[in-house]
Amino acid sequence: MMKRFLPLLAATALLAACATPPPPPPRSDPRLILTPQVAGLAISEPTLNSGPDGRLRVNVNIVNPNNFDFPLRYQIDWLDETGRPISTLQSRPAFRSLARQTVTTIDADAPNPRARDFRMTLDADVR
Amino acid sequence: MNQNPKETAMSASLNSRRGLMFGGAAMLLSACAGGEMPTQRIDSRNDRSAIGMGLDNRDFEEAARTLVRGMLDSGRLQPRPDGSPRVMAISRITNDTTVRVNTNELTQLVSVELNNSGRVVTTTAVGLDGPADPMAMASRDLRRSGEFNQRTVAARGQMVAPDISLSGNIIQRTNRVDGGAQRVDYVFQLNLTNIRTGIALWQGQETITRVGSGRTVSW
Repeated sequence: MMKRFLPLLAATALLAACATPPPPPPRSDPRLILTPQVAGLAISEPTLNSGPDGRLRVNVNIVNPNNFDFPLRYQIDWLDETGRPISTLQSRPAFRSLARQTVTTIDADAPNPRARDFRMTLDADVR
Repeated sequence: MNQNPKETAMSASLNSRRGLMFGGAAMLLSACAGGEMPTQRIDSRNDRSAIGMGLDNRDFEEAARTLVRGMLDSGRLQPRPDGSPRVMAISRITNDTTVRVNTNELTQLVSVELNNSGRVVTTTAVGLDGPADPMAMASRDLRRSGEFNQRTVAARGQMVAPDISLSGNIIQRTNRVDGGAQRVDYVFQLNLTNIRTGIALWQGQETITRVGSGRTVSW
């Protein structure tokens, strides 16, 4: 009886081993856009708050677990109520050197209270 | 003085050889120079081009962005008692660097960003070296002209005086560092002064630093 089931069990085990691993769970906040170059960093979900003057503020914590400083290029677009990016200096790409094995907070303020949402892109600063 | 025909021929041959050598060298040089890098357009919102030891527009944008953020976050730029935005005049920005800088590049970025915040407007009718736009005052001369409908001419007492002033410095410090490299710090300092009291409402500083070859110059 056992002899009959053994090949079946082996085949099942083989199939399970060959199956492709499940894809990583999608990031829950689609406003955070990550390029493959920043895959080695641990990035928190963005936190969005409203300041006393009505302007939005976004925070993202980034852990650089590497043994080297990481050159980060980030860009934050602030969007108005129609979804259009607001033209502002705050949306120009910025550079930050993430110190090795520590946490860095990237935070940004909306240029004015008209901003309703944001879009943040994180990339490596390579030329 | 007559020359031997043989000498003349030799001299001509030497001249032509020299000419050929110079021509060849010039062609080689021009070929090398021409093949270096084609001209490209750069989108300033996605500028990943190389940087030098001097300042470029990315540095001005970075400095202006950080300084304006400090101004707005300070909570000192409250509107006037009637709710209208503060009126800012541009005072003197001193360039204490070896780089030729038009300081308008910095003041324009700062004033545009402050205007966009809704808390500050900029007057162009008042300036240390004359107004940025002399037309506001010049158009008052039309009051004497019979050719203009006087109801369309600016009346007396309509201009709004500034209540804050923007001033500052751009400072450079250059040092040799280990390995023969060079470190250049550019310090952007800005002050917002309450014109009525003369007291600084806000002061800020942003430093932009480069480390590069000691053989390059920053101007």
